[in-house]
Amino acid sequence: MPKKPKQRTASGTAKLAPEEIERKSRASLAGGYFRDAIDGFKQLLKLEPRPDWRFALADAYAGRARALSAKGMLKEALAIWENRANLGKDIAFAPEQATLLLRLGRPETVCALLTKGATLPPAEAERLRTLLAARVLAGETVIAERLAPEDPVRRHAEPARAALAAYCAGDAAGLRAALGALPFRSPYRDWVQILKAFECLPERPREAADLLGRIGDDSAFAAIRQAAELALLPEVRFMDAIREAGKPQRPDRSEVRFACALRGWPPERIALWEEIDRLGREAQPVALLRLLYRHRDRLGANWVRQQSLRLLIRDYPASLKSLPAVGAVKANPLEARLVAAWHAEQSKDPWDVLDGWENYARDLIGARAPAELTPDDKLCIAMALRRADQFGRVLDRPEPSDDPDDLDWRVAELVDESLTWDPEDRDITLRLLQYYRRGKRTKDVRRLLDQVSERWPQDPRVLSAAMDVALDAGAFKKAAGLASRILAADPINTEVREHLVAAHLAHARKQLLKGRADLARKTLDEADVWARGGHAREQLDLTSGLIAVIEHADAAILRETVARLGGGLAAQAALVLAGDAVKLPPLKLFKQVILPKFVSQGPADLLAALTRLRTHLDGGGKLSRELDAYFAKSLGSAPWARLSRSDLESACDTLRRCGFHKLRRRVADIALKQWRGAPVFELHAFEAKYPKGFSGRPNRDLDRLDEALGQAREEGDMRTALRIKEIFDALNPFGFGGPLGASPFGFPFEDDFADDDDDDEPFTDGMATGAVIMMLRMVGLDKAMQIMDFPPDLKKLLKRRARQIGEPAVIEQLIQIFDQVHDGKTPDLSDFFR
Amino acid sequence: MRNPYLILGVPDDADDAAIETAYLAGIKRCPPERDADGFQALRAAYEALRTQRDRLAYDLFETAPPEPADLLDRAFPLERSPRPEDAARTRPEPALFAALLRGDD
Repeated sequence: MPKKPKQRTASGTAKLAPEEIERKSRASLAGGYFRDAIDGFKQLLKLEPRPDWRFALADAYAGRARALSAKGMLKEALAIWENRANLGKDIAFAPEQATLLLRLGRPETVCALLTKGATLPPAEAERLRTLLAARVLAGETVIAERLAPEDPVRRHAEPARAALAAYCAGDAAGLRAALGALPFRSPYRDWVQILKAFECLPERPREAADLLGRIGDDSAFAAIRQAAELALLPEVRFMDAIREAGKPQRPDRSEVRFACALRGWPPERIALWEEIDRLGREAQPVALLRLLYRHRDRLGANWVRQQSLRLLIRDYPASLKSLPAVGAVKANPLEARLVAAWHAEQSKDPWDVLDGWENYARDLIGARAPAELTPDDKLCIAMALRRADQFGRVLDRPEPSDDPDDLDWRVAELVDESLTWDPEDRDITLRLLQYYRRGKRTKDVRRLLDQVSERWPQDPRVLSAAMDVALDAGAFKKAAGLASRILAADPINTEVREHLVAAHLAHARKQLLKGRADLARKTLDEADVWARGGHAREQLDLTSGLIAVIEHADAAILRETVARLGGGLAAQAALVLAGDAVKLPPLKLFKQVILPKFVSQGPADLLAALTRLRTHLDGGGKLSRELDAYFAKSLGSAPWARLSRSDLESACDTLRRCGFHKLRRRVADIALKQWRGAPVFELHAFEAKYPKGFSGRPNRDLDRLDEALGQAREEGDMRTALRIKEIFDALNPFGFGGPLGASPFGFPFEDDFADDDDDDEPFTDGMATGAVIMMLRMVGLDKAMQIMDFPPDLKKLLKRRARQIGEPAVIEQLIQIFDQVHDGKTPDLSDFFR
Repeated sequence: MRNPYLILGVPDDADDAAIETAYLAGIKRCPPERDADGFQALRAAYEALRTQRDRLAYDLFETAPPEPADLLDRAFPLERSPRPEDAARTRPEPALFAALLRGDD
């Protein structure tokens, strides 16, 4: 076994001049190389017995002794202390030496220092007495007997011990009497403070902390103070602190036991804690299972069962065997389903979550006859059916799918079914209603609206939903009636007003497009009753102005409104958006209105223009295709370079939502000049350059995007990394044979593997195909997709297919595709797209 | 996350009223101005168990394995308001003092 290197510097001082030896020795002393320092100063003292070298040697001995004590080499440390003491009577006695003597059972040497004729300075004698007092209290009564009868350590030992006994027995009067017998200048002074502090607990912890604070770090009673301070920590911090017990700079086990006892822990609880602590922070689930079952009588059989199931999640399904292995009953089918559902949540795949909880709900439904299901069972079924939505907020999708095989459609089906088990959940019912509204599923909207209106007829949120539905149908009078009911109950509900005004505006624009300016004006008048905020008023004024322009070619109102808006980029955006909503192209509008040229009024004006675009989209506004070219020209020379990085990021996002690809690319390029290679702007530049998706051969743009992906991951910008990865996934949906010439596993996109291949055997396509086929057959579709990190879209596609034709058939189809790829043929994917 | 039943000190089948009572008693024991962390834990526990619906959701969806403090509180719960006559029973024994004063680990 190789020897541990000694902590010494290179020696070789034999032939050096004394000055050089001294320099080196002092450097060793300062650097903690005490053995070198000892050698050096010993060598110097042989040349000349200079006092400063002797004191330096004493310091080196002290350092070495402390280092040995810290390693637990107490006898060796004591020998070094004795060497130090033998350097001369002018070397001060170190209390640490006394502590070691006492710990090693040699109190007579310490006691001798305090008996008649000893020449110890008073301060050091007092410190020694405190040390001895602590040992006397620890039960070493023989120490007191070795001291003179008048020595305070001996004289005060009796009341000090009586105080301990009284405290431990909970005898407050006895404690007070015993403490009263101890004078202030007693070696037991710190002991008195400690017991007084303990008497304040648990009602007056601050007072106790103050009393404990009077005990110095070098006191022989400091260990009790530290343990008591540990006990005074709040619960969470206390548990964290005791988990670190026994580590360097952390409380030792005696301290922890004492602190636990001081917090009122009975010995059994302390013993259980030590058993848990022995398992360590990273305990294996099976070790915890064993512990749970060992103590199941105390913990409660049902509780242990519930917690045990949670310990099976990590290694599911193999972990199901752990229960019988620790002597527990194996998991029943429903329990296994529950663990499977929990395990599915760990995968973060919404389809897995949906399947996991749907399976559990179906089993729960089938577990008993419908009449035997308790209200709690029904609620559990409903919650399990809703879990996929709760987990991924799937029903929040702004554009619901119309494909029954898509995730949100399936989630909506399950949530709808859940309402038959639990119709009382207003929040989820309204969420589902809004989802149906966005998906324009009118029949479902009506059905749910009837249900909620019957159940909660006066609820403002239900009334608001009813108003939205009425507005969707163009039933403005009905919507206004509902708004009045809402505002009667909640007069400061601005959202209702804004909704109503926006709907009237949309209706007015439609009428204008149909050539019914009269009806449009009437609708605007109705909206005027509800408009309160500046934005609503501005929209009404702009639309009124447009009606006047279209009807009578009168541009005065519009000019006045634009002047009021400031005439900058923000005003221009407001006017262009209002015109676009009634199909008036910007150039035609400006020609009719004859407005002065809009001039940028600085970054704030530009940001305001972007805000108008965002607000327009948030309100469900649409943008015609011509606006891209118009805004690219009119905003192209705006002061983009003066915007901050976050403002530019936000601007690119807004332009992406608007579909203004030309302008977005320009803004991203401007940002890239300032923040070269910034992943988020590389992404915007790429997407804006290829708005319909990338196709064709790999090029420099793809290389740059790949670099941006690496950098985004490095910087922890996971949102951008995910978006870039989605682009690559779309390029290469099957993980092989894509435009980048990827391997069957799609590894080129996974940077983590980039450096691992140098020493390996070449991984041929044949081997890869064989491995994939074997994996599919061995672990099944779900696990194989997880292991090979299939893109989400492909997972969804395959799962849908598995539901249609069964998993074994999908696996066989996949194997056929891999075989075709392996044989150099173009795979026939038609089955997957039926 | 710690087991909210054990933080509140209520049995597994506690109803709404028992949970509210335990929460109010807990606030008296650790008011926010004196023990912010304790109060926060108490509040979170109360929120997790306030209604039967919350309790079922907790039982169904909370997957965190038990924490050491949960096992301790479950096996050997501490008195939340110890009586004065129990003072002696909940104090360190002389042997624990001796171990610390001797410097034992």
